[in-house]
Amino acid sequence: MTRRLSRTALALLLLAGSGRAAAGGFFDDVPRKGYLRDDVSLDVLATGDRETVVARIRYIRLALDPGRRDIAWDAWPEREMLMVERGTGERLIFEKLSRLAPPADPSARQPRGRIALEGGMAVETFFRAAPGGAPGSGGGPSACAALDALVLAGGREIPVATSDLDAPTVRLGIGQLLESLLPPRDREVVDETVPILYRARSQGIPISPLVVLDHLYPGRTFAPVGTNLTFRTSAAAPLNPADGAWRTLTEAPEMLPGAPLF
Amino acid sequence: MARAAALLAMALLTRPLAGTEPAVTMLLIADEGSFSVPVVRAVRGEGPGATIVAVLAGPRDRLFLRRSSPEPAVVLHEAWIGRPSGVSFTRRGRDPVLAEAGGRSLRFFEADLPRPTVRCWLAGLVSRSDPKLLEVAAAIRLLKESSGATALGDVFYPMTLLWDAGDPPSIRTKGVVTARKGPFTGEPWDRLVRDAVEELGRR
Repeated sequence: MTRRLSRTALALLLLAGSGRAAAGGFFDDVPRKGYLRDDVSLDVLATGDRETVVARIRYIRLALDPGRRDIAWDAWPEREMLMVERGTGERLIFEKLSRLAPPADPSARQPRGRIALEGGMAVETFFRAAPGGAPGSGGGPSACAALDALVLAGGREIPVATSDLDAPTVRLGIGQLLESLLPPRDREVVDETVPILYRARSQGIPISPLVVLDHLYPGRTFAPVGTNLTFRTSAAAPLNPADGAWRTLTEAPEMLPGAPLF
Repeated sequence: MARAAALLAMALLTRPLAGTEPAVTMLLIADEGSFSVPVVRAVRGEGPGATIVAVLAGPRDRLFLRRSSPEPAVVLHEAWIGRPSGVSFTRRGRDPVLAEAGGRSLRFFEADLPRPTVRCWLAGLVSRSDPKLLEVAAAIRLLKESSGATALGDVFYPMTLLWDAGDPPSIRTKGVVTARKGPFTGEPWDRLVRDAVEELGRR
């Protein structure tokens, strides 16, 4: 029995193989150019210590250029990026995509949310508007055809029905996936960063990209940050997704100020 | 129909007999011409610690179901076609059920079984290692419903988990489904009994 259980600790139910290769990556169908709608940067400091930066944060909201002009500016797709560089050096990013053009096949999946950590590990969520084949890349059992969401990480994927996210089994399964794929330190970085971002919300940092947590950590309450924090407008150059260190975390868009004339 | 259902229930419901010698029951389930399924059930021990094996002979394959209790308060259910590997379910008190197949596993709470996600995950787990189990489970559900049986024995637990996870069965029953209780002799019965008793002794 012990052998059975230890084997279990190493093996998870993970459906299909590489979703990225077969069904396209998160950014494959996402417009590459965007116009800045919101751009906020903050430094986070421990209260009473004006020198030590606990974290640097940048929130960006982009109106993505769909490449056609029959779509009203207000209806352009949006990409939100919440970048965090911790004082200890780790970088991570939370991203949210919305208003993407509906695919020709309503059962095709579309990217929605993403967490990426330095070193290349990313956990991504995809959704679709209508049932069809199994939402994963490999087709999968017909029992999966009605599921509307997909969690993808490390080349592994789990189909999920969003209506089932409150089920203990589903929470357990997603939790096991993250535990098996994310190194302990990466999990700690997420655990420690999310409460900082919740606090930063009161200082004007939008945290809508954290909606991805609803799917990756359903029902989870993150412990509040242990130390008192203060925030100040960042005086340094803002975090840049096109900088070398960030390139392993995200696919940097071309970011333009203002709005297009044509 | 009612008599068939009563016989089916009598033969398949878990009711271990006392003593060390295995108790063997035989049942032939058949409709009016399209199929007949010999079923042998062997039981050793009694109560929660009993070991039960059921072998069903289909047209091409044989389904093995084994229920045992490797330690107190733990029940292990195994199902396979042909050779042991298949899928296993370990029930341990109020813990989530542990499903294992092909070197992968899934923990689930029984209350979540109606959830589409959990059905998908179970189907995914089993279809990677032995997709026929899903077909067979669906066929057993059809058999149960056609015969009017209200419940199956505990040894059929894996089938009850899987019969909603796969596609509807490809087989159709023809006419009235009847269940005739043995004993029977000759083939395939002798071999089925031998295999069932042999699986009882496996650890």
